[in-house]
Formats: sequence, structure tokens, C-alpha cells
Amino acid sequence: MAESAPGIRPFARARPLREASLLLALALTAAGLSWAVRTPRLPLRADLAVYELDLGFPLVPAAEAVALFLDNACVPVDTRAGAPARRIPGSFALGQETFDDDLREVFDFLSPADPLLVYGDGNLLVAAAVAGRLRERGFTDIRLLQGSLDGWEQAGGEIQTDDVIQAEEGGAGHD
Amino acid sequence: MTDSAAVGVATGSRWRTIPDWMDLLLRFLVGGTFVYASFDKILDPAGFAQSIAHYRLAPAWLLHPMAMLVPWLELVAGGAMILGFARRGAAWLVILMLAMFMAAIGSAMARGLDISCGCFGTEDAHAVGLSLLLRDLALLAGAVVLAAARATRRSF
Repeated sequence: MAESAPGIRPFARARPLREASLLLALALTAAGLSWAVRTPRLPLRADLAVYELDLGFPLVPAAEAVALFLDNACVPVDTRAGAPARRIPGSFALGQETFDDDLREVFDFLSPADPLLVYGDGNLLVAAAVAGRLRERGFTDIRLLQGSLDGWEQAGGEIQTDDVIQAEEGGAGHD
Repeated sequence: MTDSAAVGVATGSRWRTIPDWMDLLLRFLVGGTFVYASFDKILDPAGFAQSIAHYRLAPAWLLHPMAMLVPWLELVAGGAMILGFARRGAAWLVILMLAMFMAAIGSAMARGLDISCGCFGTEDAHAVGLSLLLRDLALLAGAVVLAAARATRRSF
């Protein structure tokens, strides 16, 4: 045993490093494969603004939001500007620029205790800005839909179009 | 003297031997914790990215790669540790990860951030604090023993 010591010594020292490198390579491969096959794929570079928003309001993944909606456990709030042709059924329109006027129109139909699901065109900065204004007005249960209407639709969420709105309400109003 | 102990002496290294039962216990405790911690994070990398983002340490270019790699590294290192495959290398990886986690937790505590740890996935509501540091310290001690000592007999 003693004769082999000079040969063993460098091997023994390098072995943990080689083992760690092997395991790291395995983990990298598994992570890469997982990233490649998983949809929706996480972008390689993060948008930190998205994560900052989460500190203010909980983000709800589309599938979870659809389940809440089906259980009548959320009231959708549409923050998109203008008059979008497609929306979540029963949405209240509260645009960022027209917030005060919009809120005045729908205030009688909303209670500060209502669980609000705020969504927009996928830009969470706008949705969070509207959510912040709602919080200032006393609304306490506010969540942001992660993603946009496309994600909602892909998760099996119902979409209301202008045709339906016009048929039901004679073309008036958004909500 | 067993073969492994003989190698330790012959090479003049600092490796010490520990009883088989202790080796097995430490491997399952430390490795098992890491394997268990990886599951939720692998299934929900976006949620784990949120947990990392709460620490406000990782830059944008590093956040998602970390969220994707760290859980797999936990699984691979923890699994290897349990199986006794590349156990010393696995122990060193675990030590590195624990050092990183402890630095992040300590930094969050120093900055007064009231955030959840995210150690065991996105649903983990354990707040960052001293108890977490002590838990990681205990795991670190176990990993250091595994990295520096050999079992009296070779691992399976």
C-alpha cells in the first residue's frame, strides 16, 4: 500500500473536483432538457419588473384564474385601453388613463371586499398600476392575472366577444 | 485497518473514518433534504424564480438560469449522496449550495426583508430568519463531515 501512495495522492485530491464536475454536468444537461421540452418556456433573461410586481400583488397563473372564475370566486377587471373586442365575461373596464371615470361608472356594482382579478394585454406594469389605484380606493382582495387573454384562453378560459356583448346588451357598455 | 482507512494513512491525507451507520444517516438526512427540496422547484421553475427574485440579489440575466439549474443540482447532488455515487463531489456541491443559501438568507435578514424562504418550493411559507440559518448550518455540518470523512466500509 505504501508504494502506491505517490500515485494515489494526486488522484485522491482531484477526485472530489472531478466528481462535482460530473454531477454539475448532469444537472446542467437535465436542466437544459427540461427547459427545452417544457411549455411555456421560461425566457432565459428575466424581466425583473414582473417579479417586482409580485411583491405588491399576487400573480395568478391562467389555469388557477380560470378555476377561480368558474367557482365565481373572482371578479375580472379589464385594464386595457379603448374597447377591446375580446374579454373575460363579466369584466369591468378600468383603464389606467381613464381610471377615475371608469370607476365612477362601475362603483355601484363593485364592493371593496370583492376578490378582483385584474388583467390586461400582458403588460403587468399597467395591470399593477390599476391594481394600486384600486387598493387606494379601499379594495383589499386584488390579484393579477399572469399573462394575457391568450394564456387565459389556452387554459380553457371563456372569452366574450363584441358580437355576444352587442347581442346581450344592445352594444352598450363593456361590462 | 480497513482499506479505506489505509488509503487515508498512506496518502497522508486528512480523511477520517466515520461509522457506517453515521455515514448512511448523514447521507439520507442531507441528501434526502436536497432531493425533497428539489421537487416543487423543478415542477414550477417560474414560481421558484419568484422566490429567488424576492431576495433581490440575482440580476436579470442570472435569475431564470438559476431557477432552472439549482433545483436539478439539488436533485442530482442529493440523489448521488443518497446512492453513494460520487459522494464526496456531491458533498462539495451541497456545501457550495448551502453556503450560497446561507449568504442569501443572511443578506435578506440584514436588509430587513420580510420574505418567505422558498427553500422547499413555491408553497414554502417559512419566513427568512435565524431558524433557517441554523437549519442550513446543521445541514452544512453534515455535508462537511461527508466531504471530509470516509465510511469504515465503502458506500454501496
